[in-house]
Amino acid sequence: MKSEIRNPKSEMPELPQPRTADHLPRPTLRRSTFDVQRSAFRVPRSAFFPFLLAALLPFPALAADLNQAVTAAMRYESGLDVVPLRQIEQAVRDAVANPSQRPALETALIRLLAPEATFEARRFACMQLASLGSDACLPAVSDLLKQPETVGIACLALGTHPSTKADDLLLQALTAHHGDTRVQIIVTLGDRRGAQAVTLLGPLARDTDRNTREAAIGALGKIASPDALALLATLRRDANTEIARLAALASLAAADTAALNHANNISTSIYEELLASDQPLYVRRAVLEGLLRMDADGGALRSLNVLRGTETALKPSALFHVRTLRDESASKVFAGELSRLSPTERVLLIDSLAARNDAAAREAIVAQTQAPDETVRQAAVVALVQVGDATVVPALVAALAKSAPSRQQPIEMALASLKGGAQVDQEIIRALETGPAAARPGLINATARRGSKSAVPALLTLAASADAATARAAFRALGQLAEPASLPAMLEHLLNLKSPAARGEAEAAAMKLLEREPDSNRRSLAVIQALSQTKDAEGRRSLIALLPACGDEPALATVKVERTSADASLREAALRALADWPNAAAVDALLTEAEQATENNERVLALRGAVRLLRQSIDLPLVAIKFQFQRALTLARNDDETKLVLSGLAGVQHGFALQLLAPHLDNPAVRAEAVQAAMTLSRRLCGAFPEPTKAVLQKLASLPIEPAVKKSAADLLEVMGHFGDFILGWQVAGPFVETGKSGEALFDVVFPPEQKDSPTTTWQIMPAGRLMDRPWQLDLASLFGGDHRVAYARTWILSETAQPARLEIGCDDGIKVWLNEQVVISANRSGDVVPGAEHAAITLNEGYNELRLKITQWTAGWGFCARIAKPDGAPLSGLNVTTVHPAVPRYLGSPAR
Amino acid sequence: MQMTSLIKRSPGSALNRRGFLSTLGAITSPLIIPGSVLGLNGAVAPSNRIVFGGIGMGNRAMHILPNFLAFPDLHFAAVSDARADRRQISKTAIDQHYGNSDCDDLPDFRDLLARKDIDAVFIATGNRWHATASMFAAKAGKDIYCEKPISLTIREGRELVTMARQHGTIYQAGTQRRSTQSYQFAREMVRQGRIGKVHTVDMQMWTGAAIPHESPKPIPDGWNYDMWLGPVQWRPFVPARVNGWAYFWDTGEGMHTDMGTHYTDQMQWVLGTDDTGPVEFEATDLVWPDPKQFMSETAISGTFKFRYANGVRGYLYQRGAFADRYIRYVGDEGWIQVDDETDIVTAEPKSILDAKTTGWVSWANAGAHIRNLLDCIRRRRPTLCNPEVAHRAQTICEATTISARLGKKLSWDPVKELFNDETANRMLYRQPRAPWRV
Repeated sequence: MKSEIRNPKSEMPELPQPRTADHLPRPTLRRSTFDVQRSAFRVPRSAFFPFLLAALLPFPALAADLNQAVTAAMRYESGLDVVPLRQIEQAVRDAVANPSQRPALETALIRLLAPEATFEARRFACMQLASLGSDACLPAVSDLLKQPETVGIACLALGTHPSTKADDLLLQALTAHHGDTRVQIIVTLGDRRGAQAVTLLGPLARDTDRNTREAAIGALGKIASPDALALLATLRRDANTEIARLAALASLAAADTAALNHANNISTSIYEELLASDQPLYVRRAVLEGLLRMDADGGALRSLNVLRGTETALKPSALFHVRTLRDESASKVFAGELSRLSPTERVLLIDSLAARNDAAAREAIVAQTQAPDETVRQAAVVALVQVGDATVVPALVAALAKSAPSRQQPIEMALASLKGGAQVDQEIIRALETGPAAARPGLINATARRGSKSAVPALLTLAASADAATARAAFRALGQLAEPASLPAMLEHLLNLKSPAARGEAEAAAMKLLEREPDSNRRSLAVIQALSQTKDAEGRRSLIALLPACGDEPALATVKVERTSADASLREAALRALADWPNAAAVDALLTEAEQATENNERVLALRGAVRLLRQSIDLPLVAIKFQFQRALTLARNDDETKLVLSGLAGVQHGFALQLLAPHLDNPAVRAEAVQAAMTLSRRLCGAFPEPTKAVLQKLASLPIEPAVKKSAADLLEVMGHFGDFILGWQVAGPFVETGKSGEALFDVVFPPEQKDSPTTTWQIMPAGRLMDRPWQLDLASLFGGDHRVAYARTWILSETAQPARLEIGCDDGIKVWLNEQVVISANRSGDVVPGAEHAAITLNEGYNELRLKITQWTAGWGFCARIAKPDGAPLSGLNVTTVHPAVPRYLGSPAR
Repeated sequence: MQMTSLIKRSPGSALNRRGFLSTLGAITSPLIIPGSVLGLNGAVAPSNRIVFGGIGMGNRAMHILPNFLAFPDLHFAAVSDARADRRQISKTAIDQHYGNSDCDDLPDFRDLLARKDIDAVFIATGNRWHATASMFAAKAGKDIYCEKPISLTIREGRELVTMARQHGTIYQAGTQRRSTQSYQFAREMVRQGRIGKVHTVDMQMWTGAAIPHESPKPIPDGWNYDMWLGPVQWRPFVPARVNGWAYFWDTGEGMHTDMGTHYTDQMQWVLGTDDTGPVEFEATDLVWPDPKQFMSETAISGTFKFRYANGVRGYLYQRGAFADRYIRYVGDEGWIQVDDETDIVTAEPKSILDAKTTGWVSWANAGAHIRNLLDCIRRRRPTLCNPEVAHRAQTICEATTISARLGKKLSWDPVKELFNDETANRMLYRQPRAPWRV
């Protein structure tokens, strides 16, 4: 079962035992366009073809077949297969394309209405006849109207029938039934707007049965013919209040229909009668809205009268209607009413004036930003976002200055969202420079939200403010807006803070600028120069904290120098900077710190920093990573620290990690973490480093650990036993995409991994054995996911001699293969992974042969498999495969096969 | 589980620019207006709360219920469902929340609608009931929050629009992504022209299920199956079909009609076509369930295509995994995409994302959408997903459904709301079962 069905966020029903597409076999018939659907078919892969053909091939629609289908369909009941029903539906599609087939189809459907057919079969036929039935089917459908249990499906067929003969059938049947069966006929007549039904519906409107009454009166409202309207008028005055209520509601529908048909006198008459009555409020409100829509002046006068009247409950409708008035003077007229309205009503009117958005409306809204009631002021501020431009900035600034800080956010938001681009920016900057101080923090926040880079000079000035709120806001805004060129100025402000409370914001802003500066030399130069200009310890601590954001050699050297400072607080800041270092360059220094530390907290900090960097390290040689991990393990003084290092080992992309952690599996105190790391590594490395993986997995079998983990280990071993002679050790890189290009088009797009040893490509070890039923398949979909993208894979084949061979590839979807930089296979296609589907005769050089693959993804599944055999396809022994680049010292490499 | 633990943070508590823009008029806190002003069905609710009843209290309802209960100016007073167990579970949850046992358990939703103190209803039935229950509620003078899709036929949807206008009903469709900041951001960027002129909208929702054959079974105790069927013409009780109602024509119309409306709604909103729609529809690449194994009627996967009169094209893909849902607007200067699973927005050029703020609330929290309804009820103004908007979005799904069923590309007149094909026009409506017709 697909997890999404039970996803609590899902808005879909819960299915107890559904068979989803995941349970369907994967079609191998493919269509040509790239957006062809290939559902996530994953199981099982045997016996696909019978199912597949049934699922995808068109159903026969010949006359003989149709008759056979109808004969079979007549017996249909839930639980039986629906092949005949689907064949008939295909015949419907064929008949839509070819109208000459309709008579035969309708004849077949009529046959399906026969009494000997099951109810479900007849129901199915009625559904088809609802869209296809002609007069020919009416006699058979008429028979269904005779039996209460089939009246519903008969009405299904008749409800959309184009002929008035259908009305005749329904009217004939009306008197023969009672209860809900009769109601079914009544509502169908109402839906068909059958005017001739009015005479019969009259008495039924006063029937003793509630459903019948409701249906009959409702049908009269839909029919809305003169007879029906007259009858409804009478019913509205019926002594039975329930009948009168139903008639009033039906009259709403009838009046609306009359209005749409431009019979305004009729609808006005109905509306005015209902408005003056003691109908429920919602009815009176609805008729008021109906009248406002119909009034010749657009409802202006009526709205005004409602506002000046006493019926408070109707005022929201009138106030909303103001926005629809076409008269240009309406804004001025209604703005004049503002002072007479309650605050609540003013808010509603401001909303409507904003929707009108003319000069008078804007003027009125601006005035309301100074209203005594806060709710009204806020509504006016919100409205200005909709209608305002640079001219309303002063009003908003005044409102900002007048509001308590806790109430300023909506005004900041309004300033941030105000239309008018650079003009608004300039007005805000002017207010920053010359406006009231109380408004400054809010104005600064607004410039940040607007992304107003022209405000940076003003903000740099304000960063030097002694007012904490102003300085903090200015630094926050500078962090968002300033370019790296402002870094020296920013650091100078950091060192010369007028408001000490702003230090955190100042450091954060400087950090953001450093992150934005792509040139590490410039980053470190700026910070190191600033350091050289100050002796103030607090300032120096701030600058040291910025050095990790520089991340280059000069910055690291500076940290190391600060580590020798006489000032303990600076030494501590430097150690923290080392621990936060962004790349592996600090590993050695951190481990040295851990070795030499006299304080335990410093030792732990250094060790943690080193392990963090080692775990994510891609910029150290493998030999160095191994060495430093060994060093870290020896530095671990207790079980917690050993666990820390083991967790770091779990991130390594080489088999040595398994060898390093193996001894710790015997230590009960750290076993849980060691086992977890072993399983993580085994899943990742089983293809590339099978031998150390097998050793660890076998060891797990002998340990007293959770049965579930043991089973996982055994399962993985079992899967590895089926790897055969497929190549499972690969480095992969991806995914690579290009906007607007399909998987098919990406085949010819050259991405960096197509260059030998591309320096910009990050490779990772490809996990193997993820698909239990085909362990030799590498599953790119679960690693990279998505549609219309590309991945690359590479490995090295060590051959003791030059020799001919056969390369066999299976791929989903397209594949391009380079052997020692020569393309040997190229197939831009879509389809499932079929071993050997693509193959080539190759010649292996003596020594290392680089095999590089480009695998494109169209949609759904994505993966590949590969093996190298003798030219005749027989197994080829004596080859070694390694995912370790030949340039890496061999003693780290662990050949895999 | 205690209901209090289900209650999530009120969306109003984290106002930011996007939320601000999207809730113009909502200001920062609920506007308390005397009930007499609001016309809350003639009754003044205690503490000026808007009183709700729930119709259909299954999984979806229970997921979203905490979003309702989180609002102090809303009171949930009654529940109705065709299943007694679901009524009991929802009543218990609501009573726990309020610390009393007042929630009314009403097997027939018409009794709920008859309560004069109830101002509005939350409808989360199966799709077959959405339009019918909404029209019953409108006729009873209730305002409405209804889960999507709002209807299962185009005519029914238009009738709902008309009826809401006739009765002055404030109606919010549960296409809550309009109230979600990630989608609001994408819309604003498109409307600001940041990706140039939009020419294509790509949407993807997941592969549909197939329901295996099953014979009729006895109706379980506590079920009112007749009420469950409602406007659907009678069929025998088959558990797999009842639970898998989404995959049959007259109860659900399949995944692209159900979930697809979220995305077509977004497309309409962003393109500014809320009162109209495409002029051409086509369903292609359809993969149907194997009729030997499965009784479900709707396609497992497919591509649903539409074209607007100005040439803009939409592609709704029903494919892939649940987590792969997205909507992408492609313009002549770039693109912007919202990943529906994660709410992550991506774009090209990437500078578009500079304007992005943080702290967004996921679409999974419908609080802001409900807030919009509450404010609109108080102001008697249309909601973000009012009936016209929702109907137009749903029309796209319905029209492609009809195209799929007929195997034909269809032209559409969005003014007259008619196809260029008489057979297709007869599929605009399906006669409902009495007495479930307003």
